[in-house]
Amino acid sequence: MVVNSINFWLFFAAVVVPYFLCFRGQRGQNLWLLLASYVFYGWADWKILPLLVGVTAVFYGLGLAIARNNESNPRRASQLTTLGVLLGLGILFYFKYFGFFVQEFTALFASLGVPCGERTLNIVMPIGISFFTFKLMGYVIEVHRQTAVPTRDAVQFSLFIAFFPTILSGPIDRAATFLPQLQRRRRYNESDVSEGLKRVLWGLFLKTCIADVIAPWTTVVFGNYAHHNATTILVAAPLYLIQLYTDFCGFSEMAIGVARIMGLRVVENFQRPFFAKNVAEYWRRWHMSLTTWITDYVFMPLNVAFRDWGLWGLYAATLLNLIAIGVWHGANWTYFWFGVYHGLLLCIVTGLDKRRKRFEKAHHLKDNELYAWSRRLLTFLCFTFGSVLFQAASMGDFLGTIARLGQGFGPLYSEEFSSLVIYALPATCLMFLREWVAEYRRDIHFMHSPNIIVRLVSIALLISFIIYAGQLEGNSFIYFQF
Amino acid sequence: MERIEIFEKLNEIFVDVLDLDEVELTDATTADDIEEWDSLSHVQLVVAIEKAFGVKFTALEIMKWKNVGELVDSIAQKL
Amino acid sequence: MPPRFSLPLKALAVLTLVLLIDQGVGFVSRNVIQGLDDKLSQIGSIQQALLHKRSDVLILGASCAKYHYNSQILADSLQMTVENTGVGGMKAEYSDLVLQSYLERCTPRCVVIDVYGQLDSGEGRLPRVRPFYGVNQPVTDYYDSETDWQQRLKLQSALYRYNGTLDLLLRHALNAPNRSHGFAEMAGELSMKDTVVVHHFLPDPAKERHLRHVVQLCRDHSVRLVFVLSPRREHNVDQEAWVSAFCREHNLQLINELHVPDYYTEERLFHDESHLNGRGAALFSKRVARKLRIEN
Repeated sequence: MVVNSINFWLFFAAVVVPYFLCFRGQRGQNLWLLLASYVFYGWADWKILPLLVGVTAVFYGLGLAIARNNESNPRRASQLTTLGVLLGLGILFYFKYFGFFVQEFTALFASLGVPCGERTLNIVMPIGISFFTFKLMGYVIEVHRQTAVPTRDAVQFSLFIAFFPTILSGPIDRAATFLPQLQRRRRYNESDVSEGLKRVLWGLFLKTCIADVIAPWTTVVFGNYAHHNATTILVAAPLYLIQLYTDFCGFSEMAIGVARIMGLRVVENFQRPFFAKNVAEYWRRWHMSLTTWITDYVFMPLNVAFRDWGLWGLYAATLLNLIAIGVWHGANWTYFWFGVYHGLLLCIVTGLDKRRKRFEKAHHLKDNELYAWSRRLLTFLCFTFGSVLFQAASMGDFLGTIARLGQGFGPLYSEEFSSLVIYALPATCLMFLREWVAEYRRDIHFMHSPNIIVRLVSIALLISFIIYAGQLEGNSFIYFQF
Repeated sequence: MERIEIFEKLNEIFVDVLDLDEVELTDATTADDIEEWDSLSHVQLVVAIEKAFGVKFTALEIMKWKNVGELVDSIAQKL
Repeated sequence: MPPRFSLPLKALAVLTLVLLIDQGVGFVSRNVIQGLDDKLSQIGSIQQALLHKRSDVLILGASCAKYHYNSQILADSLQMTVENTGVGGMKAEYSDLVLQSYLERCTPRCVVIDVYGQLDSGEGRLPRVRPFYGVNQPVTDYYDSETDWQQRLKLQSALYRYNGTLDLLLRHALNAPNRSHGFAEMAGELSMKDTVVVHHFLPDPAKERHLRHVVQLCRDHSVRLVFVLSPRREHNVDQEAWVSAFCREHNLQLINELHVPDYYTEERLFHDESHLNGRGAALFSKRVARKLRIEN
């Protein structure tokens, strides 16, 4: 059940009405929500449900054991934490990467003249696995660092892991911010429901009116890159980045909105990444729940471990950090090189940081709008190039696509392009306008206007626009495969 | 070394590493109070502190500090 | 102190506003679409085929139909009126709908269907007939009987029904008037030399059902039905075999131009792997007309 389907909303209505009306305390509410979450996950992938439940139980026990040992036996606590992390990584490795490694090794041996049986492992990746294993590993690390209190309440813990709005595609929550919310009964709160619905609406708008309208065209162009000229590829690349953003941000908004309706605050995932002035800032605004996870649990430890190697230690930590982010997306060399590419860009940004600050001070560029926008454009272009790599099915396809740029310009591939211009373009402008307002002022217009008539009319117009101009025969969400 | 002395030395280190004009650290000061103190500069601070005081911290200790007071305690323990 | 409106009340207000917008958009769209002039755009072709056109000879099919059957050449040769209702991306359901619509207005003497691709799975461009729900009876019946309750519920909304039409209407406005009875010519030449043969064909059951319905309709109205396989540089032999067997089973004339050497030796008759260009279409139309006359 995808969030943008009627089935999901029927399910949600069936869940949320008893959620508010039937329970006197948090225990009943949490149990109800947990059951709903397991039903939801089972609907998506019932064969993996036992794994989810089992792994949740194991980590529940680990959390309590680590806390017990933290003061009395720190070495034991460290060992248990390491065990938890290895278990999480092991599960992830098996389902996501094992098949790829076997494939690469047999290819390697074959090229060295050693024949290996052609075995293609058909390991089906459980949906959402990258997200809930990260929640589990984060939990034990936080408990070990004593930045989170482990819970004795198995229902609360299981709900934290399996929470249905976020289990399939994030955002990745932290125990420290999510668990406390489960300790109180959530009452029906009009402002939460109203805000939640607005977020769902905005997410739906981003996905159906921008991402799904652009998708058919970019899919055809990149899927068939050998037939397209440089003009088409150069137009498709930034469009693809916008598509990727609105697809994922739209989905995150819907997840956050659904949670908000139920009175639960989930971490944000995006903060207007196209307004970032350099690559580092972009990563702090894009898929924030993943980036902060990897920063806190991969980058920081590496950085600390390499601290005696000065700037080179920092570069190494940065590179490994971005490779981890890249490879999280899947078992493909394209994701690895995507990580390397961004790692190198970040090293450049870090290395030039002091020089840039001096330059800006000397030329009084701090409040210069033109300067800020040129930096944003440059950042956008860096990410556009990265996204061509990101979407390629293989390194061969990526290089082939780039090679097309040298084959000469020509007319733009205009098949189905008019619908992009007529629907996605105004929608993108609207999105950009709203983000610009939020970046420079506060988000107090249209849906959040103090004037009730403006609010209601804006919402009605947005709903109408979605139904009239949105690509409603939905395309599947890109991040479902992660 | 007295806590006061540790604080004085820390003030110098912070000014130097974070490029500040001046700073007055207290037990309750956290990274949120100083704009230039982010996760990146945190590690640079640690390196400078380790060098200045001639101590070595474990990774876990570094991650556990919640404010400057706890940092000072860690230093004092090692001296 | 301004009155605080409760959420259900606000939701009701929003719903009312959306309904008003829905009605407004529906009213404008319906009038615009029904009043479209005859042009070669997609929505123009669909509107003409479903609501207006009549002729002695009806050409059904997808893009191959549109680009191969030169209505003027056929009309001159057969001394009958010819309308080409081919629309790119359409399959057997659309052919069924067009034929039903036609039969409400007139009884053609001959129906020619360019059958390659009609049985492939997938919606193709069929959603483009959605604006005609409630306007054209066969389309309305199709959605009422062949889609689930969720789709029928959504179709009650004009905003949903006319989703995506703004783009089509703009393209219609920029299109040339239809002076060729639905036929469009492709310019350009393919420089590919070899013919590619592929295997494995599984007709979609729903599409097959619609094709049989076309056969049934023609039988019931005593209309001559002819199947045609246009020449292609890439074709599926199993599909060809299936079509031949189908025609034998239903005792239908099949004009198979797939292996006629005239198209393939002079390679400048193709626009791409599956479509002839203008000169190719002229040759094709003459040959088809001749074969139609012979079997008459």
